[in-house]
Amino acid sequence: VKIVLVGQPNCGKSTLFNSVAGYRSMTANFPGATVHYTRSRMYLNGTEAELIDLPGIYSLTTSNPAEVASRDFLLSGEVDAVINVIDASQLSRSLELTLQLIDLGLPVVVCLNMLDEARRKGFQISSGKLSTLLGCPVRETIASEGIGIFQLFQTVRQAGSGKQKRVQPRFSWHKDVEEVIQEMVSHLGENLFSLNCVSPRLCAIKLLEADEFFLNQLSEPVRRVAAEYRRKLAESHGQPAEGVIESERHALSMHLFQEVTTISRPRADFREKLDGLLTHRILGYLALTASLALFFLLVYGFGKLVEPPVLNLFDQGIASLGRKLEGFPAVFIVLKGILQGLAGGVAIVLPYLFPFLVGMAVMEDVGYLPRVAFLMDTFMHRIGLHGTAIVPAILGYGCNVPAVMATRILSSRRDRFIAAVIATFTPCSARMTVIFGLVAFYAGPLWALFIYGLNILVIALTGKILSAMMPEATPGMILEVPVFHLPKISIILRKTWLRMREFVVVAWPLLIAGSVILSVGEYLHWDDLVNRALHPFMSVLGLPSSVGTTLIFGVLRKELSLLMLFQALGTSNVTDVLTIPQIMVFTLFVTFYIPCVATIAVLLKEIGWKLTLAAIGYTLVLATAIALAARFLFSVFPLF
Amino acid sequence: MTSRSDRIIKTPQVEEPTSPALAHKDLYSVPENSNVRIKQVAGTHALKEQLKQMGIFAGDLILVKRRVPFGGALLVEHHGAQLAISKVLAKQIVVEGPE
Repeated sequence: VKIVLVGQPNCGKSTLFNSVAGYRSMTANFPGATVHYTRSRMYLNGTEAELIDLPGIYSLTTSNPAEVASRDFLLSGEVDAVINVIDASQLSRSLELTLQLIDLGLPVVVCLNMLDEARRKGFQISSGKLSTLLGCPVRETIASEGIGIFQLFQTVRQAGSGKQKRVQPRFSWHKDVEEVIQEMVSHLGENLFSLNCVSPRLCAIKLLEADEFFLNQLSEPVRRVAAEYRRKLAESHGQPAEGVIESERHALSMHLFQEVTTISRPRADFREKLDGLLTHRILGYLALTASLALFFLLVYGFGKLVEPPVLNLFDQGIASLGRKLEGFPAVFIVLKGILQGLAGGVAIVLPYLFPFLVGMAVMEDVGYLPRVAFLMDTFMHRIGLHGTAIVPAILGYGCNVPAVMATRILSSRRDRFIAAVIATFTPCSARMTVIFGLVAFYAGPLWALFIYGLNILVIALTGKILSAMMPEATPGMILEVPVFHLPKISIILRKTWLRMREFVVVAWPLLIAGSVILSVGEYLHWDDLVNRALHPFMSVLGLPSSVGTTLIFGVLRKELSLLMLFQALGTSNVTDVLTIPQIMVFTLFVTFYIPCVATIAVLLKEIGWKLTLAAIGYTLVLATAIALAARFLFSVFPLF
Repeated sequence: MTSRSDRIIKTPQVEEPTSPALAHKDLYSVPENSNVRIKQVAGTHALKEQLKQMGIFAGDLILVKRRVPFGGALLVEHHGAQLAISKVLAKQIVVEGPE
């Protein structure tokens, strides 16, 4: 049995999914947090079922790739039951999708989620009445609290088993419109073979709405019939046929909403005051700067506190191990490699990664990102994009891979490409550990801040250059700004773990293996070969050639370039070997050069190989130019 | 009495453009904290589609909550949901009001 979660963006589908499947689908408080579907096996009273969390859609007529993925899944013919998740505090608007899902003909269970939020707004919704009117079961839930979920799935099990008998909905379209729909249905007949899983009724309605996807699935004669009926509707109503259908659906949703809801005075809430402050024309920007500064200081403070003592501990361990294993150099070499790999992870990466990911999770879950999009819309327009594109850019500070995927929430192809390139330029948490672990640690936090500032400048210039090359105008932002949520500590920690796991299970073993290879290679003098090959390039940048190998590891995972640096230089105190200007040049190069393998893979998927190659070439040229400029400037102005 | 009924049956063409209650304008020119009614959506097919998808139709009430200066976005409330809208789009939404 396949059950899908369908609903409008940010209505809590992923929260509901996670309450059944464990924390597997990333949740956040902004529309478009899910851009691809997540599946999970589950047991419904002993029968195995599959639950699928789909990206949010406002309608079955779609406008961006994330929504297309949802529509295609719904129309694939594999779905046995639909859970239509509704943000109860947005009931009137949500019903427009519900009406389309009912016309789809699959068993639908409506899940009135976020009831707490609806009650705060003063909405009392009669789910019994709604159920009668819609002709399908309606269950109430507060998914974030786990309330009502068991009852919901009990209902879904009955609906999905097909034993439940169909109830006719008690609402109806206007008679003349209904007649046209019926006539259109009768014309469809056997023409539905390419869409055999779609109900003729939904198909007829979508054809009358001139939905391109549905039109393209059908043969020319059917399209002609549809055009004829559209003309007829337009004539009798004095507006285009799609307008007739949409207004009808809108009126019906409003009517249903008014039938089932009693509205009382909303409860005043501190969140409105907070919202007023954070979106204020002056205070909003001050608050944004302050929260970013606070974020930066917290990450730096935490890392600075934890890094030195832990690193010391490992250094002492390795030194005493060296004394004990004096007679066995080969064993010591391997053990040293493993220990240094471990030390890199525990002492250098995790102290910065952990507070950073917690901070990111809090920002996402509170619902701050859409406000940032609102405030930054003019800035984004100046670089040829619009506010919504700030969401992938900010996610990029966590990891570039989900950031590139998040560009799917943009409707224009051009915007997706520019946003994807920009997302790969944002220093992800791995590069953040290099910036903090090297520059902030040795040159001071202001220089780390300088790198972040320079990076934003480069991003802005890149955006400008790319949009000058693709002069097509950006469509502009219409983004829902959801109410604030108090984040739950358990969710924040699980989300942080889900992201940190990536480092622990993928990067760490790679790091330890790389560390051992480098350690052994050093013993056998293999690294000389690589370093000699890279020597000309490194000497141009003014860096010792032993640093060359670390840049190769950095393409695998960015944090490796830092960790292998300690390994390659044979010390945990980098300043023994590199000067501060050299550290700056190295970090600047690492911040801007070639995206990591995982990012390249996702770029290939999202923007194709030609543009990916172009993006890689661009980053390489840019990184070299910036590193060279830094080398030159630091030699002219000895700032350190 | 007569002047009042005259005003009611006036057709839109002869209405005074300076009358604040009836003037046609775009959403972007609406000051903060005023309620307006959407009259029509000009602009591209894509914009119309996107607004309709989000349940925003001609005849709906919109409250402008915040506006960012220097060509920034608008924060509006529609049926209890908050939306951020770029200037380019807001300029294409024709409204009447404030009411």
